Amino acid sequence: MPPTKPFDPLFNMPQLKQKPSSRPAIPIAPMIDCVFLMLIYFMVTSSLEKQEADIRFQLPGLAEQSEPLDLPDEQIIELNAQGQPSVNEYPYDHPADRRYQELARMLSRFKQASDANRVESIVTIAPDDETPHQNIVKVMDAINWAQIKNVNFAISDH
Amino acid sequence: MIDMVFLLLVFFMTVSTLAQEERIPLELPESEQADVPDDRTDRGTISLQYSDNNTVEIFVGSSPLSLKEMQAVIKASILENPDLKINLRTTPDMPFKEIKRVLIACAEVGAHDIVYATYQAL
Repeated sequence: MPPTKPFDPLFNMPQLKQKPSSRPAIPIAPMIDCVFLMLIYFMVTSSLEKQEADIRFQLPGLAEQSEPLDLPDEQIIELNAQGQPSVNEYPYDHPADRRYQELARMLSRFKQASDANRVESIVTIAPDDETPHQNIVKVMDAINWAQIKNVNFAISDH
Repeated sequence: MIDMVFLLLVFFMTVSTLAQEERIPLELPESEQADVPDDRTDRGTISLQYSDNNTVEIFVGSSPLSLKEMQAVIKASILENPDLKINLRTTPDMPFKEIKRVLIACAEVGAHDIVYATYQAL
């Protein structure tokens, strides 16, 4: 005798047209919309946040002075309380200028002159007590533009 | 695809929250010559800002400290890491005398490497 097929109700019974599903399905399409929206939001905000940039300088202090030094060329940039830069009492640029171009050009000439004489160029910034930080940063920009690497701050105790 | 999208979503969410270093939010001066550094290690962040009653507050990381306490913290960290750079963050209108106090305090404990934090001018 051939083995009889076990009784299979799904196979043997007539199919129902549509089984009412026991679990409700998650609507995928609107969820993807939501997720994409969030994805784009986080992508945009993560790149939009302004990055902080650097301007470096060294404070004077533990400089070793054992070797005899070539006397470097030095320029002192004074800043008044409004942020007006001046060198040897001659004012350069206007404090509200976005960049100190006259000062930058002068420093560039100064740098070339000291390079030609093979001496180091040093710039000392001497701000007034009330000089705003932004103006000091603009002076440092001008110094950086002129490719002068040695920057000092004149710090006087009154 | 949904898996991928979720992965990206979670990635950007964590990145955007993790990117916040320990520092207070502050308006910085703009600079045209400053560079965004690749390497942010060896840094101690000091922030200066005006408080509500017009005095200047000093923050080391995100904790407000006095000048003396700040000096002590820098002194301790410079012993641990001699290459420490001081990342000085302050508002564009901060007068130089306030910055000067901090610079002198840093120089006194041997922190000579100073970095001004700025935004890049476009």
